Amino acid sequence: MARHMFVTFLIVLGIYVSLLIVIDHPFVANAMPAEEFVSNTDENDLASTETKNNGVELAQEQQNESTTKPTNIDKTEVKTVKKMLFKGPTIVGVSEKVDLNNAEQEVQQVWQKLQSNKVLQHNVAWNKGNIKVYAYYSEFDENFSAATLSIGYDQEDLLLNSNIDTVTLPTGVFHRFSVNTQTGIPSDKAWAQAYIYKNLIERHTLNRLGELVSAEALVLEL
Amino acid sequence: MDWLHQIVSEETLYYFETFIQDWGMTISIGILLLELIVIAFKKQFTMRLLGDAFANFGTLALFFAIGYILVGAAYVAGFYWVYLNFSITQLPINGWVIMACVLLADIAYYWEHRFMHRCGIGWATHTVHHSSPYFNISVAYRFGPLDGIMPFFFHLPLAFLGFNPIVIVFAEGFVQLYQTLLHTEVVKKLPKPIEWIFNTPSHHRVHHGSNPEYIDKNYAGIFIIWDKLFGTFAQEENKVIYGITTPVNTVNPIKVFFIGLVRLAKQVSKTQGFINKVGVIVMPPGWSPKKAG
Repeated sequence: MARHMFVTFLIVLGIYVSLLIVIDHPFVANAMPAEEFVSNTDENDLASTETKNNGVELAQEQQNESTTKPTNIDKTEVKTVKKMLFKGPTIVGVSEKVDLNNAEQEVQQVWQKLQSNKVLQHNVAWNKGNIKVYAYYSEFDENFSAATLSIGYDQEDLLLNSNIDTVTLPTGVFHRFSVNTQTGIPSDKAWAQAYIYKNLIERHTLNRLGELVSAEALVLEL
Repeated sequence: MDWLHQIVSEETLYYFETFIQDWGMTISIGILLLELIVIAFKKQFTMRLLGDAFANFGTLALFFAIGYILVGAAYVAGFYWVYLNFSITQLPINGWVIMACVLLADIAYYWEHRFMHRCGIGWATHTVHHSSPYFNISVAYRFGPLDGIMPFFFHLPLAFLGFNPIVIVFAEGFVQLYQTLLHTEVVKKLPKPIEWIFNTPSHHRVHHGSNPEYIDKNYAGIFIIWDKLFGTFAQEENKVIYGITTPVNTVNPIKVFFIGLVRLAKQVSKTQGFINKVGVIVMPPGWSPKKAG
């Protein structure tokens, strides 16, 4: 029996290590929670290092190309994936009006503002993992050419009660769409629905290392 | 293979998990009807067989009552507690991770299943599943009172390894569904390469046999290779006699559901000494202080 258990241990170890290699996930011994990483980092290096380790960079890379206006909107093509209730969390971060005609650049600037907020970045509870970062598009104008973009961490994932900009996301039944994580672009259907309901929420889940665990786009029936 | 790197949302996976469970049940009922037709054609249909099938679903209802009310939420919450507080990393949700988790969940299933057969309390609950003298898809739904709790302890290490709890629950469900579909006599033997690698209806019929050469064999979920590796494999050669060595002789689902625990309680009660009582609970079925010397 003991021999069988030892063999099982070796098999599990083999599968696990193979998985880490295939998905290019950092090995455990080398992994350092971002919070600890930041506390061990010289203040002068902070600006350059924290972006590599806090996951915002990754989410931002996805976001850079994520705002594309739908070209041919056909409501009949829009299908509901699954309806459930989204309970809007309060997020802490930044809010800006963005020009969707110049989305790539303007959205990137909002992500950079969030990233450069050192107080906020130092107070994300990275150790707990499952960190949620939301990008919430609302207040679209009639031409769908401008919107308010709020990007921030779920307040429950922060170590402090921040007095920085907070936005409470709406609650409602939502339509869920995939985000292409290769390109960082929510599906065309997501944008078509956003056009109808005038809102779009991107939800990024990050692990302790700030790596992306899952991502999706939600449009609420408001 | 890029699609295997594609990140999947927790909700999408949860949706698929409930989807396979719902459709698993639908497909199972369809297969049961098919089996009953085949049995009727062979003129082997009896009211006892039908009663047994109803008893199987009756134990499922009781299993759900206990599972959902008492342990359902705690089960997933426990995974999350370990995943959020003690996991060595947190893995993304993508195709590779899901495949690896299914593979590891299959190993966990093997050991959980072996434990259920080789530990007094495990067998007390799992004996319900084996107590049917028949073998059809409804038997897959014949559960004992603690059958929903035991898997928790064997799958918890996956949360520690950093698999998202939703991925673990999905993997568990997938292995369970595969296992469910093995409970049939309609499928005889599959091509040799499949029989060599995968668990099949033939291998699982052996597992349900009370023939001496079949007892405590073929614990596998999806891959039979674990049994071959750990010396618990047996090939289906002689006709299988289904059931347990001490039959239950009832189709009353309540009696069937608690039969194992009642028998264990009686055995504990008549055993002298605290240590010996604990021995009856944790040692393999049939253990007694006398035999232990």
